Amino acid sequence: MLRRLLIAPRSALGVLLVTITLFAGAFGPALSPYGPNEPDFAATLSPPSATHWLGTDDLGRDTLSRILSGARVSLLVGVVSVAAGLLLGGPIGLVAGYAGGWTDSVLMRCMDVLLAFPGLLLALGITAVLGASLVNTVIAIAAVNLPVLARVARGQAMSVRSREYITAERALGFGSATILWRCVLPNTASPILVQASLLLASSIITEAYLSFLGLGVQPPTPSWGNMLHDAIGFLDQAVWLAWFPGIAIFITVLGFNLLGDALRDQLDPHD
Amino acid sequence: MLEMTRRALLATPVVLAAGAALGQTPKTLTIGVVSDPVTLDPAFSASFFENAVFYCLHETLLVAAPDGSISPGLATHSNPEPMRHVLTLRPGLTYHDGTPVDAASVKANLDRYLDPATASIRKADFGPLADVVVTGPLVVELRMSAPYAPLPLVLTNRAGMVVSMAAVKRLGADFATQAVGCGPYKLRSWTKNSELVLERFDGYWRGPNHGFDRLAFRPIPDETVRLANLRSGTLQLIDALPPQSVAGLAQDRSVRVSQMPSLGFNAWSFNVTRKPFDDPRVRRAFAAAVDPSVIQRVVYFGTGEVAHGPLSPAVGWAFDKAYAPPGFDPARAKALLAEAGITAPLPVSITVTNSPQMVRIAQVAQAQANQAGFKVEVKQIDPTSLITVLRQRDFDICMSPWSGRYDPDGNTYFWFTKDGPNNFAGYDNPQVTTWLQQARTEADQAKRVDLYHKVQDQLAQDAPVLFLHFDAIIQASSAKLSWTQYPDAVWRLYDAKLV
Repeated sequence: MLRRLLIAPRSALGVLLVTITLFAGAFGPALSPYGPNEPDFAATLSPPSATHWLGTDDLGRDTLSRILSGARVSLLVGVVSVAAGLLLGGPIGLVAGYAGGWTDSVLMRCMDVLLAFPGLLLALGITAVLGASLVNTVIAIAAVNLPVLARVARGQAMSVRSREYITAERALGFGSATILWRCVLPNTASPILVQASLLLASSIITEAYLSFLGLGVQPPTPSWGNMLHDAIGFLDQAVWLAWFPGIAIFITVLGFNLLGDALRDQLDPHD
Repeated sequence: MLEMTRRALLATPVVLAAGAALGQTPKTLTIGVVSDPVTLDPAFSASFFENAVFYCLHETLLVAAPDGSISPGLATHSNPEPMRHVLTLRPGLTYHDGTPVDAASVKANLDRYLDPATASIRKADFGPLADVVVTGPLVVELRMSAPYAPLPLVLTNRAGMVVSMAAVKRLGADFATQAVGCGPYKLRSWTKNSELVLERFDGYWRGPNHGFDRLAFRPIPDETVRLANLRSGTLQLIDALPPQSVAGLAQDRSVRVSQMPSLGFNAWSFNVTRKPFDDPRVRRAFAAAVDPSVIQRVVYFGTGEVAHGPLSPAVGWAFDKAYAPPGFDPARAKALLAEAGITAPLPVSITVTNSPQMVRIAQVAQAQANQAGFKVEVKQIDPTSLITVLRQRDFDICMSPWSGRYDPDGNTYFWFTKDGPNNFAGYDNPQVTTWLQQARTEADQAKRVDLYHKVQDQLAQDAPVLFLHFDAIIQASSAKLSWTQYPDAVWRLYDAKLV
């Protein structure tokens, strides 16, 4: 499958961009020329130069080092919030879709409550109540992802529950848990994973929104969103402060979206 | 080319305004302010940003010049005895609704401020004022229970604003949005969070020589947007220009930047009522760990001045230029922490509002204090939560900026006496309280200065507050607009005009 992904230009670009982001997140902080929170009050708002490739911010911190460090934050928030949404929303959706009846009604009405709020508004509300921090940002975004993944899982479970092989498993006397684990999950995993890969991109954007509004990752920990927030006051003096985190967000989100599209194409059973 | 376009755009409203003088449309000055007023009633005004409108809508009994000198306003003032202040009103004045500005109305206003049932926050401004007595149709006597030197300057502030009591009675709670005063402009319309328009009042005591027919105040919280609107010509005057923009605007001939030292200070209160800052050595250690000159350079871009105490350079007669208590010294900070028995990095939090400037200051302090034996966490809160956090003392260190007063009493008594309303630190030094009480009752200015300097020295020792900066008032206007800047950052726009 990887070979097929690498052949198509769009998906190859997605793989490349995601690889760059993952590399930055994994090794960036180790390769950074400076500490991400290391101020140099004698070199504030320096433009890009040989010493500071992407310039420095208003406190003299190296923008490149902060972008690399921010990659880890963005990926961490994206992956953990999607994983949390997947671990909770997936089983809820599978159980609801497989069981049907009142179980389905109760579980999905709970999910509908979460879906009733626009994602960003829900995340804003949760961080406003819990307080602004990295952990609470992850919780908020996971809460946004949870009902989306539950809905997808439910739809898939409903479509397979009346298949012959499920009936056969029932006839053989297997319990619901075993059937869900052995038969329903493997046959519904692909669309759920595709949805999860697309949610990675939107989760990274949501983190950037929250941090931009001061409700996400708190300073001095760099995130691309709070770097953009800090850059606003200096658009006249140091416009590069807004460019680089913006480009980083663009590359990462584009990468995950292209990869998600490609995965969908590859895993589509009708294709 | 870009420069020409900008200038052309900025000139547009000026041309329109000039055309208005011919009787076409009213000459309007459009002003960008940080925030909409919460109330227009001086009895309840608690927001600093409301002042932008207040001194155009209302008038004070006495008037302060930018240098702090006092002159008659609605009234002249005399102080025949230390405990008696006599105010003699100008004859023939009326409020915007036509009711007379006379002794009875002034007494009714001051009684309203003092009445506990009103719960006006102005009450504290009057100090030991015991009684207000009408001694003639235009003469009011303020009788004190103790001498109170700051009173004349208090009467130049919001406490000295008088409003139509007929309107107060008629409008009830609606007075907050439909206030009737006797200032140079009267209220024409107010669309919340959009635009507040004032219209010239021809019965103003200085005469109908207003530079503009109307003033339109538009709340624009984002400093970048305010500046962009000034440069595009949509606004002709803006408040709170960000310091980082000052240097760049020097090249822009269509915009004039005005700055002067403010009356207030930017300081952080230590919570002296709980660990770790209940120990003065730890407070002094933190003060020695932070270099305000770096904050002045990095965050304020060289504007304003480094603060060492509460007395502002804008109040020349009390400010001591040579005053330099022990400053930034990381080695001393570490030694003080060791003396206090602290060996591991000491975790403390700094609470600031989420304003970019305040967060930047906190981050500079965080980086410096972490080098000197502290482990600082920066907590951001919503601006509306600040006063609650301060009053409940739910902090280790919390930003507590002060807009300042013309009289040094306003920068000290409220802050450093045990029961002072701004004693957020929980500081209690009976000697300082005594000195401050003596200073407000002392008529001799030299003796008052001496007392304030003693207080300043003691504050450096006790360190209940970390003084960081005397912010500059930075405002900007169209280069074609003439207006007067004041150190309290408040506009009195009666004399603003196009040149």
